[in-house]
Amino acid sequence: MNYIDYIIATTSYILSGASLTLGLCAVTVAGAVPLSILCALGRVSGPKVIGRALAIYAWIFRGTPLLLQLFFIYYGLSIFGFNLPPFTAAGLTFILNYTAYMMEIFRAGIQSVDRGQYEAAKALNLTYWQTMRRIVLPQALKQSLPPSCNEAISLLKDTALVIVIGMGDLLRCAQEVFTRDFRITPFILAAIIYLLLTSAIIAFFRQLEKKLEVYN
Amino acid sequence: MSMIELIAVDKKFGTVKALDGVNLQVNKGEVVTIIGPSGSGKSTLLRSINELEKIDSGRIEVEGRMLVEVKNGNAKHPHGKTTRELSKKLGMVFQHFNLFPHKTVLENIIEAPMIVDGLKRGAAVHRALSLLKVVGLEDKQDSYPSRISGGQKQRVAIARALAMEPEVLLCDEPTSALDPELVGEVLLTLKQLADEHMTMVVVTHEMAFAREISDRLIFMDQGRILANGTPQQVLDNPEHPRIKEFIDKFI
Repeated sequence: MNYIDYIIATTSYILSGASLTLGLCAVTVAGAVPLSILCALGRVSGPKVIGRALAIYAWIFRGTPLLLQLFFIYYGLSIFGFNLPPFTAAGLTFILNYTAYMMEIFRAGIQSVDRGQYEAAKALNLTYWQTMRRIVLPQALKQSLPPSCNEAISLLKDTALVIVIGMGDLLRCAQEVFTRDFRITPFILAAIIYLLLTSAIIAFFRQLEKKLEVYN
Repeated sequence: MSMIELIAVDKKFGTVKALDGVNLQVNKGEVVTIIGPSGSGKSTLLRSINELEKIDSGRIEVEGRMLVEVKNGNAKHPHGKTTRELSKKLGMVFQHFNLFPHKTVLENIIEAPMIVDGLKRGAAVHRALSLLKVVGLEDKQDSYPSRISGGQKQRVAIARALAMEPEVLLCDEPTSALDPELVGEVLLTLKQLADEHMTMVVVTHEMAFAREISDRLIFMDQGRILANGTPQQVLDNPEHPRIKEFIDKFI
């Protein structure tokens, strides 16, 4: 087998692991984005108890390693009889962890919206939810785009941690090939795939920011 | 007919009395202007009418119906539906315009009629375009607020408030944030509304304008109404030394 064929075969094998990486990212985004917006609203305008509870939640999930959280939910919960399948455990962990970070980003975004916007909305008789959905959140989310891009990149790379609960993601596939062949090529290929994926994320966010720039 | 009535309204910011036993009646079709030194409570008075400021005690009525009453620190509101019905009669124009920056001029105006009143887009746009014509900005309907001048922003804000077809227009220093050369166009728009007998309560520093459009002029100082009469009564023969002092600064 020549080197080109080797690269093609290895790449396609690594890409088979990428589907898990991307699947986990998709699940996390689908869960964490709406959840963190709700939590941010809870922190900004909910009752004090809820705000306090959410602050404690953010404190715990931002203050402990993601790896520890993954161990806790996959291995730790099984002690209490909750035997979650690996993908479920990983999805749950990532959603909980990323919601904690994204909540703070959206909270800052919401709080950056001028008070006059709320007053104008109130003067026009918009309800709280109408004000949030139509006036405040669109502006807050725009403010949140640059830090969200960072989070998206981190998420993509953090998914590599699922190796520790035996899941076959992109990096794990590369590692398997390395162990078999003892060549550095699979690692380089994995790096290139990660770079392409993060570049796609950056391009996506840049496009989004550009689109929303029209009103600056 | 009384459009708005404030009865014994108090409001404190910390220990400062922003409103101190204020009584005020605004009749339908009347243009009432509030003047006074800064910190006299005139903006607070205006903002308390549509509850952007919560009053500490007193009663506010719209068309003879209670909008809010605060007694011994307990606020009483009518039924939610009545509150909405009454506060819908009040439109507001702000010193800093407070246009929605992420929406075009047209979208700013049709937002509340569509979302709050459930108007169909076509009808809302139709109404918005005729209002843009009134304020002279038909050609700006697709611009974002960041792309138009301050005077244009304020005129859009006036159109936005009018799109809800309010009975009263509350204007909180509508020209204070504008460059001097842009003040005229906004005052002209407001004068146009006054001429059409829109009920208006205007807080302003523009004395000539106040004199010209007001049916009644209110002078406030330290949270109290010191004078309440026609512009001639208040400005030409000021009874109170504070008013004389204030007016002298403008001459």
